[in-house]
Parts: sequence; C-alpha cells; structure tokens
Amino acid sequence: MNNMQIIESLAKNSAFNFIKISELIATLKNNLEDNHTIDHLHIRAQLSKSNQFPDAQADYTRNHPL
Amino acid sequence: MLKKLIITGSGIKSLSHLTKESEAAIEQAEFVLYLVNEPIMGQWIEKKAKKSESLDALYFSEELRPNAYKRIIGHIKNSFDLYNHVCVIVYGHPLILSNAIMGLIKEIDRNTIELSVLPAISAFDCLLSDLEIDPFTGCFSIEANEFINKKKSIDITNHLIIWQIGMIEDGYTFTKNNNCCAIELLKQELIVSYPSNHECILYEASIYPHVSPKKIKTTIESLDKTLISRITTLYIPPVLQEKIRGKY
Repeated sequence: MNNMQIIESLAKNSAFNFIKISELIATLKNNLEDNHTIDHLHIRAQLSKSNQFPDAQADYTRNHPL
Repeated sequence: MLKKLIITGSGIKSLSHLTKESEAAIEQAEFVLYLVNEPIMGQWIEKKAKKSESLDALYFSEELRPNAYKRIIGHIKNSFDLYNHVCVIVYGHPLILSNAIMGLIKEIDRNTIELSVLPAISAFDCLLSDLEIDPFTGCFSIEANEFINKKKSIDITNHLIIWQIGMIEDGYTFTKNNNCCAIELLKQELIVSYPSNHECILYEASIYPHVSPKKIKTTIESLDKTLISRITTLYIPPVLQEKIRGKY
C-alpha cells in the first residue's frame, strides 16, 4: 500500500477498529523507513509531534536540530 | 449564464475531514485550485479532479504574504477566462484565518460569477473536541496579532483561545522561527489579567487520522520557555469564580 492508500484507509476506519488501525500505522511506519520523498518527510515531521511515534520524534530531532 | 465558483475547505485531518459536498465539488468542477496542509490531500485532489493545480507555488512566491495573496486572487479570477465551473479548496475552513479567500470574495464580480462557500472543519473545531470544551459557556477566540495590536480586553471567566502565537509581529512574512520577544510580550499582556501560575495548553491539531494532537500543559509564566511553532495555538481555561473572589 502506498501512503495515500494508507491515509485513505485510516480515514475510513474508526477507533473501534483498533486492530486494523494498528496494522495500517505499522505499514505506514514501514513505508516511511524506506521512502524519502517529500510526503515521507512531511508525514514523519507530523508524526514526530505525537507521543505515539517516539521513533519519528528522534528522527525528526536529528534532522531538524533546534 | 453565470459562471460558478465553489469555495470550500479540506478540513485539518487529511482525507478524514473532507465532506461529501466538498468531494462532489472537487469531482464535478472543470478546474480545481488547491492550497492544502499536507501532501496526501493534494495527491488525492489531483487524482479525483478533472483538472487541478496547486496554489503552493504562488503562496510561496512572494516574501510578503499580502503580495502572495494578491497573486493567488488574480490567478483564481483569471481561471474564469478558461473555465466556467471552478472549485477552490483550502485547508481548514475556507473563511477562517484565510486572507486570500476573504480578499477573493470581496473582488468576485457577482454579476458574472455565482459563488457558493461550503463549510468545513477548522482547527477551532479540532481544538474544541481535543480539549473537550463547549465554547457556548463563554469563549473568546482571536488571532495573536489582533490580540496584541488592538489591545482587546479579556474576560477571564471565559475560555480564551489565541491563534498563531508563533507568528506574533510576523503576520506578513514566511519567517520560520517563532519570535521569543513576541512571546514575552504576549506573556506580559496576559499576566495583567491572569495569575502568572494559571495553567494553559499549547495545542496543535493532528493532521493525520488516528494520530494524536499535540497538547502541552504549561503556565502563563512559562510560556517563553516552551518551543512554539507557527501553527501553535494557546488555550487558556477560565479562571474559576471562586478564585477571583479569593483574589487568586
């Protein structure tokens, strides 16, 4: 799945469907590991603001020193 | 026959905030012009629209934002030379903190173009949900430069929401970093009315579904010690009546 398909699928699932959401988030994280396009950087920067994504936070801080 | 312009918003949280009526407008317009807050939304519009164009290049084409807004307005108006049905979509709600769109609405010739503005989910709506607030118990919501420059009076028994505090004294450029002196100015302004240890929240809405928003609890006196981005909003809860009677 590409990033757009994942976000589209996340948008169609409610918080009740947490197993599906966890799978989608895991796929998104995998995509972000391998992909260095603009949307990769943008999504990663956004995810870094959330406590749900501590890895993204570390990565973002490394690449954007304060 | 009148030409038609539909102006709408994509909401804040990528594809999950797009309404059915906005989706229909995007799919049925001859031409869609868009200015959105994240790339997936842009890709989606490119896929669904008959013909589309991003306004990003124009938005970042000028050092001063008012000049960029003028170019955007001119470009949208010119698109009617080629198309009869145009949809303009911006992130959030189309009329909230959107100078370019407000400018466009004032300049549209209503004798030749029929305009519809569709509602959309704004950052204000996200904040109300994420912080669990009912604004109708009393709420004052204002952009930071308006608050500082116009010396607005505050009722501390209301919810106070100050937008774009990372852009104080920088309402006109695309400068990247927040202005620490300006935050100090805001702090001094707030301390006149609020106890300095009054709790507040620095908030940023999430732009992806199932990703948490950013909520940092702090106090008014510590505002200048926290990293504030250009999209940070300051929320100050009401001071309780009992505290006011007891002079804090």
